[in-house]
Amino acid sequence: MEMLATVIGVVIKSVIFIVGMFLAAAYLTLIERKFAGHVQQRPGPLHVGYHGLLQPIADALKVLTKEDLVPNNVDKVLFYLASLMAFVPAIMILAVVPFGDPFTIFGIEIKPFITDLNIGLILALAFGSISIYGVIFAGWASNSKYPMIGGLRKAAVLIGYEVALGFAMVGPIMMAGSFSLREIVQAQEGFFGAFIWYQPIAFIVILFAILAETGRTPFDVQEAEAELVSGYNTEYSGMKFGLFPLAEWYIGTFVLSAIAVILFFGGWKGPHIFGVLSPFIWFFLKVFMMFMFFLWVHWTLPRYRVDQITEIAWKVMLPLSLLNIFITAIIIIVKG
Amino acid sequence: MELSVVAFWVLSAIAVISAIGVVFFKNIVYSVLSLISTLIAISGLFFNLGAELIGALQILIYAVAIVVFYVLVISTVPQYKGEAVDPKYALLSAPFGFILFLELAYVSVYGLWASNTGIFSPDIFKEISNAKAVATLLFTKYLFPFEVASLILLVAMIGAILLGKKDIVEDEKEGGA
Amino acid sequence: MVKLKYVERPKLSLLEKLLFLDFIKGLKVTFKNLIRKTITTKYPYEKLTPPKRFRGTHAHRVKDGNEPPSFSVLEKFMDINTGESRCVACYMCQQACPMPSLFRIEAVQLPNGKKKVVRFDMNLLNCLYCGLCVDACPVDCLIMTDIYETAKYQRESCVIHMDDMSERGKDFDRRRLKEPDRIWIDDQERIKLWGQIKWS
Repeated sequence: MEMLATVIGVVIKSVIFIVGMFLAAAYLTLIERKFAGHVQQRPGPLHVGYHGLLQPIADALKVLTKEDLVPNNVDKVLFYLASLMAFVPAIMILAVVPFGDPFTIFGIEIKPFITDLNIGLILALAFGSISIYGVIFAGWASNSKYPMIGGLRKAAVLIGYEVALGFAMVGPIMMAGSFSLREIVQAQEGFFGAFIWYQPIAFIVILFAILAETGRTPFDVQEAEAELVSGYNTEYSGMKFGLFPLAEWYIGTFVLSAIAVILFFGGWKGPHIFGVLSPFIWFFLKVFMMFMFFLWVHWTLPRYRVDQITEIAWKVMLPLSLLNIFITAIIIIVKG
Repeated sequence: MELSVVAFWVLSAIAVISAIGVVFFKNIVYSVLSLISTLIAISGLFFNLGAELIGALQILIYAVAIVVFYVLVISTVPQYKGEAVDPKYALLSAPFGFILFLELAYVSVYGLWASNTGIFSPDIFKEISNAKAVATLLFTKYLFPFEVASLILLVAMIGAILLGKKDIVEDEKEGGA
Repeated sequence: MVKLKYVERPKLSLLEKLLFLDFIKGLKVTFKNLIRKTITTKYPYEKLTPPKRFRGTHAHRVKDGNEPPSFSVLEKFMDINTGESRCVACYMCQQACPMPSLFRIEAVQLPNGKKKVVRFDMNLLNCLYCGLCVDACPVDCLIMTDIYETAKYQRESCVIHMDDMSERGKDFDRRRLKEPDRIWIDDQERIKLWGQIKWS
């Protein structure tokens, strides 16, 4: 009976997280389209609802009712599987992201996170990097040259940035003394306790890695629309196509922004000016700012070549993150 | 039945079935896919045992970092080449496979007997975290193997750099001549 | 042989490399544009007036007393009343057209010996709006108007005929005959959208 209760509790919580993330991702598309429009001096979606507020729903209807075309020579099993393989791990990162401390409403203790593993950060890293199999297998299963090149490019880039990302995360971990995302937040006290003041190098490396992992512009080699038609998702259509950008550009970027906020900006900590909901509001405000920063970078910079990305990853970012570990270790030892 | 028992049977069934798939799939990309599935199922087993650190590292290092290299190479192989079967290698692999199996069986049986002798029991794991237990072991009891491993990796890295450098020099010579 | 001059790309200074100054410059540009007003015309609700030279749907000028001298030479051979299309069926437009088969022009000889144009159809589905027919017209009859909404529900509706062309021509002349020939009708509007243009 207790087992059943646990399972049901986790399932309900997961469903809330997943549905919430879906809705959030739908509106993140609207935010991105508005942002991209205004950067290019055009208004973006305007006519469906007030200033395009219902546009995501219209888009979802359109994508869902579109003809789901599967080309003749694709590998059918992998073709279907790949879109899920990109999507599911991206949303699974949510399992380890805490949205706040446990609190009590109406006598029920609510924990705003699914699990609090003490190695949450490594697990987030692992899920994030497993989602790139979706890209690679989509490229292979499409049996077409542009998707293939896109998938291989992504694999080549992954090998570069994943190492730098792992080493860069060591800095905040060393300062907090724990892998648990909750404990990392609790280690950052006050405005000047946020790790961004102590770990600027790690922050830059992690920005680089997140941009590369989510395939946002300076590093969007896998779907470089100028060279490869649409990269790895060229042959996809309908909702199978819709899942890729949803997973990579929106859910991936949002969740990784949340992790960056937890690592460097003190998570949900902030002045208690919004009452009970203050941690949530602070957290989402910070994550939103981080997300907007990624959008800003995306709609500004041109694309790097794939060899330039691997070169930056191995020759600049990896030594930088190792240097950061070295300096942090010395400071920790000196300070005691 | 407890939840962990259910999880154990489900995960081990997935692991075994996908391991069989690795061997018997003719399409090598499917083989790699089932290899990933095996590795993830095994990491699930680690989670089930309470060894979260090993489980997460299993996904991060084996299922992603290493298999990505396999995928990178294998997905560039044309499909008809991947499906070709050479009976010579199939025959040759049988005795080696058996020897490997004996070795693994010995290690796992020995490990079962040896694992109860350490200072770390599940209660201690709960008290100090998983990462701390691994780190303590690495930097006390197994310090020498750890250092040797890092030395080997360093040598391998230098070797890789040398191999990479050599090609460039040859290219320049060809270009000059 | 053309001599190529290789120009070294300017190297970034150390400060620029460390602080990503070139990135920040780019980010500054996009931020400036983000807070600027949009320049979009919200098309179905707002419509820009094209310049007078715009090459839109074709029209026929009518006989109204403003004809060029060449028309008065030909007028005595033609049966054209005031207010009717001044086409003289010379087929020059068809000759100039890159796709001549889109014209269907027919003329008959009346019992009194005069020539009457009975048919002047253009299939605009084949038209590429190059304006060569307008240049070729000797009596300044065929013109192009500022109408750019040419989409129709049936293919037949895309064929334009002589009577609706003369109607369109009357309308166009009424609206814009006296207007000076320039690209922007309104300097104020142009400066608002594109800024002051400095002519060298």
